[in-house]
Amino acid sequence: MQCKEIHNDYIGYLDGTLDAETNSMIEEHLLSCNHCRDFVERLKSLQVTIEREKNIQTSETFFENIQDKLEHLPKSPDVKTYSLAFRIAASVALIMFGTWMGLWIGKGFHMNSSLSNDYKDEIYYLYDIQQGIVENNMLSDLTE
Amino acid sequence: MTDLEYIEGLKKGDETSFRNLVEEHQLKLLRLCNGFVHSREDALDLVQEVFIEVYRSIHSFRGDSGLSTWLYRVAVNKSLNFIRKQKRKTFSLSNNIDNAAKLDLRDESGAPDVRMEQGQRDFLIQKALDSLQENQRIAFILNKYDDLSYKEISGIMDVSLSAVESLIHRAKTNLQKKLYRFYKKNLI
Ligand SMILES: [Zn+2]
Repeated sequence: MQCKEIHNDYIGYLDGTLDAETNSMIEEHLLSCNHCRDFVERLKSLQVTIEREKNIQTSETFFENIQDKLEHLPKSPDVKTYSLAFRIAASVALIMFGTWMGLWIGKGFHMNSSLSNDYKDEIYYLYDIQQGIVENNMLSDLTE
Repeated sequence: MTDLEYIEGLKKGDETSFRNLVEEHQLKLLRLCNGFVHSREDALDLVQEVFIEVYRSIHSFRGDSGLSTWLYRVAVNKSLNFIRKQKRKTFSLSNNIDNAAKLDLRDESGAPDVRMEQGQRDFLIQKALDSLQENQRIAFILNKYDDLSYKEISGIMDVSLSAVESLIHRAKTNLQKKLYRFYKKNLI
């Protein structure tokens, strides 16, 4: 038989975070309801899964891997040390540069391969800067 | 070592400080990231990236919050970014998996005695967890995977205590609803 009054707080009941009143209300219901008793029993799988995932082990070379990655990072200037004003100005300048290049190319300028590569680099650089700003603002996304 | 000692050490590029910081914080960050990505390999990669970012940006750390809070924030952001990138990459693939899972659900529903292997049960529970609204998921994972108090979580997420309470409560009731659907199909 299905239950028509399934309580919302069975997970809270299982992890022991409910107030005494709600707790005894649920206990009382479980005494008389096979369906909910069975469901609560199965809900224990949630805690089993979480415990299994919490049991993650580190690797023996964890710190060495970090050092390794640090050594192989490109020696680029740290984007975060630039002021916001500079980043905005740089973005605007690059966008203008890109637009100007686009117009120039549109006029029938014949691109040679080395110039086209320079152009690509500028675009990636612009993207990196924006990415930095996006990452810095991530936490405000979390809390909105 | 205190936060201040770590920060001073890191600013000087002292390897022992960095190593101690990593030793002290790696496991809790691994548990956290694993709660988001459900893969040891990816969690290891992400936490290494967390330490790299902290190491490289220590000079801009203002100390408004504790070092641990900062580490958690970076780890949450990296995990969410990773998931977003992965979703974009495997959009069509995951659609196929979802469709396959729906077919499976239909097949299993008629057979009451079929119990899934723990691995499959884990997979469904992870899916339910992943489908929680983002802020509920963050609060729930910080609370359940790292046993953090509501106060600590409010510091990391920069929201009030009552907001954390409400997020975790909603996470639990929503999770229960999702799991009830699986239960009715005898999948958990
Ligand atoms: Zn009931």
